[in-house]
Amino acid sequence: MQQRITFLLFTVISLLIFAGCYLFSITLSKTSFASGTILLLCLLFLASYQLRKKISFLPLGSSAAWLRFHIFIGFLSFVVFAIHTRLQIPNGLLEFILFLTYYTVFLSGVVGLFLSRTIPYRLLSRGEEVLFERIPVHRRKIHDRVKTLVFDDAQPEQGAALPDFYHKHLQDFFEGPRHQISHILHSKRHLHQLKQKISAQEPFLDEQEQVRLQQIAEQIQLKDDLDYQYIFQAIIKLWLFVHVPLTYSLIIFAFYHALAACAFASTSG
Amino acid sequence: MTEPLQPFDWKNSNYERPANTWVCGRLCEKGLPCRLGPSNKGECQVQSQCEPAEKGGKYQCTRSVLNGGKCKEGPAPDGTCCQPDTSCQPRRSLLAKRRFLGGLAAFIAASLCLIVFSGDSPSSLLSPGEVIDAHANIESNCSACHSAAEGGLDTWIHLTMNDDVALDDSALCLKCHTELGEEALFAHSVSVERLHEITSQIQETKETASTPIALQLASLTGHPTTNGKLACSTCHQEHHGRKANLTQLTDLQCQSCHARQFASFQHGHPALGDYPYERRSRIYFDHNTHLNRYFKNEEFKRTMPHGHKPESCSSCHTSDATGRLMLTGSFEKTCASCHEPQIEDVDFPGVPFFALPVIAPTLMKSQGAWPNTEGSFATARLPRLMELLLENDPGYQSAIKQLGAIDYRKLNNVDPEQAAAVAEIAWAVKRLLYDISTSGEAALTERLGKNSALYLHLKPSIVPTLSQAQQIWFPNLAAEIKDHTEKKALPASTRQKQAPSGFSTRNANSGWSISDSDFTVRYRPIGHADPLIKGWLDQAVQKDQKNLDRDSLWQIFSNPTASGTEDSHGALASGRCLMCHSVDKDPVSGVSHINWQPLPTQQAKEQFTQFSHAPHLLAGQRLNCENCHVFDRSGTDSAAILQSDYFVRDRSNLFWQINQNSRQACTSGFQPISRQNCSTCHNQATATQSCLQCHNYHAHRKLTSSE
Repeated sequence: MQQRITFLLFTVISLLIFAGCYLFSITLSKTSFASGTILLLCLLFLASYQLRKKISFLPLGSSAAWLRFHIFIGFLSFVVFAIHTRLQIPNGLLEFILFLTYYTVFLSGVVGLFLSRTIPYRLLSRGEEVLFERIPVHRRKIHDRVKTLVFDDAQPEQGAALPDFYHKHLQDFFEGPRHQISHILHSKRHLHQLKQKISAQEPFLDEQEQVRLQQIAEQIQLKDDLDYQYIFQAIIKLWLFVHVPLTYSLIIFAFYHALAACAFASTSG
Repeated sequence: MTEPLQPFDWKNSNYERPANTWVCGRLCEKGLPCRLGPSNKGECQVQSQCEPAEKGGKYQCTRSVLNGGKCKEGPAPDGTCCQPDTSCQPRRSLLAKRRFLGGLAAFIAASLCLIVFSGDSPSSLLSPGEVIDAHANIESNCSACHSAAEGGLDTWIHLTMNDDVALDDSALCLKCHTELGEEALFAHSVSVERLHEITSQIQETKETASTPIALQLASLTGHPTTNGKLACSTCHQEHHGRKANLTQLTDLQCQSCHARQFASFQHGHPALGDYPYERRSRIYFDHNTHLNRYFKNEEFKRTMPHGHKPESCSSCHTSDATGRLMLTGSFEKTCASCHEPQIEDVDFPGVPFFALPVIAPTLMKSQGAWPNTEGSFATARLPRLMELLLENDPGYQSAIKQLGAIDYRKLNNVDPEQAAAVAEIAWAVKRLLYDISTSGEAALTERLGKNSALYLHLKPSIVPTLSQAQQIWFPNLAAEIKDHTEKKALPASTRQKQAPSGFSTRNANSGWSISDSDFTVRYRPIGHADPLIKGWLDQAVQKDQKNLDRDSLWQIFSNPTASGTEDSHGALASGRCLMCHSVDKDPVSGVSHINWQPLPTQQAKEQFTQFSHAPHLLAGQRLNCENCHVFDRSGTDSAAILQSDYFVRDRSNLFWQINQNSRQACTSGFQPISRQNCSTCHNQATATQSCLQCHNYHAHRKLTSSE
């Protein structure tokens, strides 16, 4: 219901802006100034979301509400941008860079919205939610546990089958994040292959070694879940590396563009 | 998942600050962070390494609870810590990296903008796009169009606060676009007063149409006017590419300013009125009468034996190079076959430029010779050129002052006490002839004074003919002038020349002739477009309008019934200049001019409407001239054509009455074009009913033939 109301509101406001610009254009008013001013205000508001996070101690509304409004204004800015540019690619260098920057920021925002709507569900589907910054610690612990099972818990009479298996198939897996593409594609083939290798190794081990191998298998699952969490949390964090820095560039380009437009556009329109 | 990965209690969890700029390097490399992490400055703060203390000969662990408490292993025998923590190189956190990248992006953007905006003049990098082809040669010179380009960044910031920058920039446009006139920045390039006048005229008409809803709503937004002026950029928006159309406006945009608004040309457009015949043609020509009467009826073969009927409209009219105008063929091609004989008019003796007044020999006692002019002078006034030449003669001026109202046909009837004044007139005429005979053009120059510039260039010159007339009429004039100057009494002429009963001419080849029958020097046009007559009429209408009624030449060549003897009627009328060539008067300057050409070479007057014949003629064979130009058969019977009312002039005796009554006005003989006729092609279905197809915004824009 809330989504419907938001969509309806967005449609109404977009139509009002479009109609306003159209009516102003009929009277030969410079609609570019009007749409440009609205667009600049939208950009400033969108950028202020970052500021809102910094001053969270002030009672400025919940972050969730700000995010919803951020998304709403973001899409609205695209409508205004389309009106402002008349859906045409500008010819001038500065304006083309501005055009490109806006689209990159907008599309990265859309991508971010998509990621923030899909990834949490995927994270919930596998493993325990962990803090991104703690993942190296967890990975280390898992690795230590595996090494303990392979080397420290081994009895003197037991052969080198398990250590060989570790060196051959497990060491690289546990040393860092692995199979990131497979995780993104939601594939478990690599895990299945590893389990098959474990199953193939099992007949060659004694009972005690088999127990330890099962414990290692549990750690493999744990590590794979951790990798899954790592790659998706990294994606969520990395898209901001495009969205946020380019927003700063966009605002600077927009201010310069506004200055040039006010000083020069009396002839160019 | 068999066990939770992460503890959240403070004892089992490191103190994590992911929002900090720096994170532990060991965390990143090995997943073994120290418990405190780096400082805010990015320095490692390894403090977990304890310094074992010696108590009783044994070393004991001193690790604090915050750093994990005492270790089980305890210090080594030599007193070193068994869990030595090595310091690491802290690394920037993700947030810090993002912050850094943001700063870098902003720096690059600002630097790029500063490069583009730096310098005293804007870089071409600042240009938002290419200008149109016509402006391409000034594209690199920003200051040609932008006043802001004269200064740097500070100027631009200042200009953003200046409301008049658009008008300042428009003044730069008008430096080149001088063809738009002095009122170019006002709506439609007409003055505010004129615009109000036009608006009032439109509002007075009764036609109404429903205003489109978009225009009703748009009217609430107001208009971008500055002191009643409109900046060029209001309509013309540059930097949209070489092939952009600077004049493209929608119908709604055009109408947003208009008092009367309507949906489209097809629905609601006002009637076209008398278009395109709202003004009389520059050449008086009644198509209807010519095509349906002169070329049809046998009776006119008598007066126009060589006349030939045009086969179609294109026999006389062909389009210009652009196809915009349908030009009228030359006189020789289209009119001469009928009207050349009328212009040559063998019965027309010519226009008198010089005439001897009627003075009886009895009034010239002791005043020298004077031909017997009795009964020969035809008009009450002297020819206009004579008046001009005698204007600065004090004796003549004194005489006419003494005589009062003079009728040069009746100077013989003056009172005896006025005889001396009449004689003085005779002497003034003789002095004039003598001066011209002896000094030629110099005498004309001196006598015409300020008027000399106007009349002296009229060729062929009258001087040789006047000298010859002097030899004939006053053979002893030099001696008489000498004696008269010395105040000697002169005998009356011993040879009283009798006026011949017939009309005789001499030197008629040049156009000039001497008539011994009425003692006049006349000029007879030697053909169409005679340069002397054209020049005289041009001078007369432009410089001497007040005296037109005194100018026999003007009267003859503008009077449809005058032929020099004032007794010719009918067909001879079209042999006179101003029967075909109309006169226009500029309402502002008051200057008149004769339309020698059918169409003006430049449109100096308001032109709100434009029309090009070419696309209409190319539209297919189904279209021909008569589709739009329908004959108006009303008022074309011979009685109506030839009635005197047809030639009624206005009060100044200069201009024909215009369009007040179709039976009296001189029109082309066609019905006005109807809007319905146009809308058969120009309608919503064909999408060819834009305002700009037929209307000019700049009403005073001078169009060249190439346009």
